[in-house]
Amino acid sequence: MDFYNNNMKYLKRNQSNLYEKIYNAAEMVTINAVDQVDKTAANNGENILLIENREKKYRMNSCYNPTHEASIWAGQFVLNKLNTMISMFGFGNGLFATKIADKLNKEDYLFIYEPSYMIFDFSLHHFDLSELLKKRNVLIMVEGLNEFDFHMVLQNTVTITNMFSQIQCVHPYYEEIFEESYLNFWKEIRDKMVYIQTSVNTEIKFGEVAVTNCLKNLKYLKDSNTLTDFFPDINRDIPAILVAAGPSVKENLEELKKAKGRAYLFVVDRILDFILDNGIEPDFVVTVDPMKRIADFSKRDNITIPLLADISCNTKIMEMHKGKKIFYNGNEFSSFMYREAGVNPPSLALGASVATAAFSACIALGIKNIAFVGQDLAYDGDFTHAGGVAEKFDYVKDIYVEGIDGEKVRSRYDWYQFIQWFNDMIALYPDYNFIDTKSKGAKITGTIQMPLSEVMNNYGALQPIPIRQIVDEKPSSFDDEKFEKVEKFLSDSCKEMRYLKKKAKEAIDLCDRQISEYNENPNGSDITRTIFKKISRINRALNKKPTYSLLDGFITALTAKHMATLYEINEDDLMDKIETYNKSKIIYQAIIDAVNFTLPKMKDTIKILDQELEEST
Amino acid sequence: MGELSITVNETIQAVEEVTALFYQQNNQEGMRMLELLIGRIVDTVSNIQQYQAGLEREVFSVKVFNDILSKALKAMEQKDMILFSDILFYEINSMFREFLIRYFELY
Repeated sequence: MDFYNNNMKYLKRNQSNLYEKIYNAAEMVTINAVDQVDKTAANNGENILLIENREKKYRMNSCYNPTHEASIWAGQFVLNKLNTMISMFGFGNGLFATKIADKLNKEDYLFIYEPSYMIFDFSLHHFDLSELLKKRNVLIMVEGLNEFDFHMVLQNTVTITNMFSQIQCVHPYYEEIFEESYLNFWKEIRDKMVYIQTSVNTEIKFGEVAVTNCLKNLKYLKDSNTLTDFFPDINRDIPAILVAAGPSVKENLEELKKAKGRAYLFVVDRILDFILDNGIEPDFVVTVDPMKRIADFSKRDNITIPLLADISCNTKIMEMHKGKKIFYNGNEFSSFMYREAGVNPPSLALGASVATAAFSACIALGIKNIAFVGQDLAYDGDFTHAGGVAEKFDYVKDIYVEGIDGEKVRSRYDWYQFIQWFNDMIALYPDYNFIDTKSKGAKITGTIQMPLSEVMNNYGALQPIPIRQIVDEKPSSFDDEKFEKVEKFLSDSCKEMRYLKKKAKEAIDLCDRQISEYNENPNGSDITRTIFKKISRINRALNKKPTYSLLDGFITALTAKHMATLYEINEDDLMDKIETYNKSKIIYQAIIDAVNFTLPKMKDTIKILDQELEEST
Repeated sequence: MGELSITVNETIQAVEEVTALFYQQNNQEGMRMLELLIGRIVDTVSNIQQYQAGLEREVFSVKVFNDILSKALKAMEQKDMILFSDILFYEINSMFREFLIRYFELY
């Protein structure tokens, strides 16, 4: 039998990306090549995979009965949660993976990370992998070909609701043969778990504040612009300089002064005063944090530098700031609002910091040469930020990362996430130039090391750029007519919120009735089926409402710890059903609480917008 | 059913439980239970030998058993716990099951 062609047929169907890479580039992949790969027959006639590496021989399967061994091995993994993601290190000859894959439910996934193309290729040629490769919920990542896909599938599939449904496993002996890749495999998983927990923590911290800020900041819409309003005015060949708050900013102060007028100068809010104190006026200051301390924005009360702001950014900063506000990002709710008014909604992939937000803004403007200044992402001794600022840090949160000189440098877990974010984003824009001007600190993959002086020699504008004038003279995104539509949208949103509250109360009553009914009839009845349909209809109705998206972060914050257990299945079927409805009641109550919190604020916002519209007419 | 058959059955089960640990790469737990298991196997064979002493024919070859056990212990010395488990699961347990068949024929 021609195993290879048959296996490739299924691989092409289910993982065309990997299939193409094997066809086009596989011969050049030498990473994790072993001394020898072979096969031999087990006592029962099945084939066993043999690997020889560094003078050690590994028999990768039982020499009596490989299938039985693999079945017992897979038997230790219990898939008793919904939406389970299994990450497996090592493909071998596919037998262990097949036994695990046999346990998958429709919504579960198996991600297999194979560190050696040599082994994978041998298995493709010598083993029948069709049963495994046929499965659409099995994905294979081979180092040297598509290992980045492992990072991406974790990003896209693991969330707060299934983070505790994950299983990790290792093919026997792979840990020993491929030590370094094995460590990297675990690092990817750990990083994702840390990211999710950070996101949940962020939601909890910011949930209420983000809603309040969003509504209060709407009063600035009238005189504001969106980032994309300036798209026609930007000369994409002129570089953007992103000034972050790392200690190395001080090395570049003189060059920054010279760069003024010849590059687009974006500074993050944290470093604004330091830059101004050194006689440099940036073109844009960027803020994102809904709870940014005023002291970390500015001591000054006369800042007129155009402010790039998220719609939920700190409302006190918005009050302090006296210049043009440019919204570069909103939320789903504000996007609906912008569209109702006939304005393109601002929306960016922000990342987790103001520096990543500034980066996204530059990408959105189409600027092709982006230079990082002060993006250290590593400690400079004890200092965490420029100006000799040493934030209190927790040694538990520190981590070593690769430095620009190839040596390890001390960093923090949150900075490490930013590094990863930059790495991922830069990989998406291979035609752009990303330049890192620092002389020490963490390496950002895909950047060119170049001093700022050289950046300006190579890319700087020859004539001064009148960007400030362009920004100040740009008409607002909202004329009176559009602004009236915003008001109507908000007024309709108030009605929607009352509707959400009413439906959530109905849903709670239905859940209570359902629980009573299941206690009477554990196997279900016509009544339970009818109630289930009613609740499903309510859920669909709730999710469709734009206002629900405004409340979503708030609801997540209130229910985060319950969401993580939502997909757990009890062994007792009845208990499982009742628990599901009890948890659902918590979420519906959170909707009611979110409405009670938000509705008065929405009404206040409408009053303020009314006044503004009156004043302008 | 005689006490000996219960003992042999329990030993067969114990072999399955401990070898499952090694098949699942849970070597630490497996090693922890191994000493007891080996002791149980040896006691079981000793009981079989006593039973066999009263019979006219051989129903369990101690020589063959010893050869198999040596093979298993050699695998263990080489830290090949999968091969060790295979020998116990397929050969040692097979001998015990064959003994039970003959035991019940004579019972």
